[in-house]
Amino acid sequence: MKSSVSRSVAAGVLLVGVALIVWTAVDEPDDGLGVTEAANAPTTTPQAEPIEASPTTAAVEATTLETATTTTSAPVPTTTTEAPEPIPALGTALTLSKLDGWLNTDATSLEEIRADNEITVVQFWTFGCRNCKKTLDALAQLHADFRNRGVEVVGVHSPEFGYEANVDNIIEAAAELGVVWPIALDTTKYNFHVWQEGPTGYWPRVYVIDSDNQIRFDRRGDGTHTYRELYATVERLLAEDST
Amino acid sequence: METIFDTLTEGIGVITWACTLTALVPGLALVLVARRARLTVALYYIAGAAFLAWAQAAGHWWVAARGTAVLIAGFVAAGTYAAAWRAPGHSSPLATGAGLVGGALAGWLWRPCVGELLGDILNDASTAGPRTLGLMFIYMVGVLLPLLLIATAPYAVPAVGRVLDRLPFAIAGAAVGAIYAVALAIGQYDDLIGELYRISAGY
Repeated sequence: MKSSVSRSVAAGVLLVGVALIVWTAVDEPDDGLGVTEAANAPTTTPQAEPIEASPTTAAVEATTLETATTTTSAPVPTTTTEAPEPIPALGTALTLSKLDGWLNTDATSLEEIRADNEITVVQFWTFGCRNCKKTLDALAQLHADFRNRGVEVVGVHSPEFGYEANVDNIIEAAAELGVVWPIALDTTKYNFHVWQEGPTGYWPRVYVIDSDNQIRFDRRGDGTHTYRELYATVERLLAEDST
Repeated sequence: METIFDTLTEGIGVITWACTLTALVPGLALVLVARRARLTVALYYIAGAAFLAWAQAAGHWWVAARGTAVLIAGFVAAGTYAAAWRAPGHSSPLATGAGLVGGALAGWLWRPCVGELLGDILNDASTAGPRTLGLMFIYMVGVLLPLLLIATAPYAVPAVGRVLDRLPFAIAGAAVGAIYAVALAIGQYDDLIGELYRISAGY
């Protein structure tokens, strides 16, 4: 009796497990190792246009919903009564050191990039990481929308595996994925470990650094809502700087 | 409930990803080695991995996987395979210990590619402890589901059990475990997994 019950339970677990794996595999579109939709997303959004003129993206939704500083062309109901809480500083940003070089820029240090911009978005990524690839359309949008407004994106490429450390592979992947913003080559993962407190680091992880070199945003993961928040944070910091 | 299910399926969705293999491969080998206690080892492995991964994100574990710590980890890993091999049954402390310590090692060494829900768990780990620990366990059940399937298969289909009980399977698990322990001790584990992934991906 006991044996038949445990056998039935085990069979149930087995069936449910297999069904879940099959269902998840079918449900999730495989972005493979090549180009994702994100990579193919246009990165030539006109800079001077209002945000509403951009393609409909999560970032735009976030801007519409969460910031009071969007450059709207249509009337917006003025129901806001309280100013949003200031974005707290989470600590002083570190520099990027012991790099193997830079791609997509003439700059040779993070300081040079910061000197030319009000806000710097720093993302730790590696081209083999699928979750990192999922964030690239949001970053491309951010880069396109803000690059002429004092915002620069820096991708710190910290390879997890050996093949991701090969510079030729990085250049090829960056071109395929449409990564046109500066890439810092953190081949030894020195910065990956120094920036990310604690015994381990994560891909992707994104920071926003303001003009005072303070970290104002720090999130792990590829969440759509995370990159909406990122976009909104950049908008708010730009507004903060302009007042 | 929806969050739990979504977390589970996000975990299942990354089973074959390179970032996951660092935790999954040693676990599969350990379950194969533990011929008389597969289910106990699998369950405790998942629990250990979830706890350590969560503890790191929450700031409760500060030992970095570098230098001497990794060398020691190699020896500890070898010990878990020896314990799993010798475990006489499900209630044996050897089975519990092998699973728990083996899982904790995996959770410690695991550097995940972070998806949406895992990102939320990690971001909130230091401020919402119990909830994020529970969700991390659910996520790990998804990631390490193949362990559970292998461990439960013999109960559901006795013929599978008879196949898995054959010595070559246990020896194969032990061989993978030995490679894992040595690669860990000499600091080459990430590169080994990366090379396997590179070959399978055709890079």
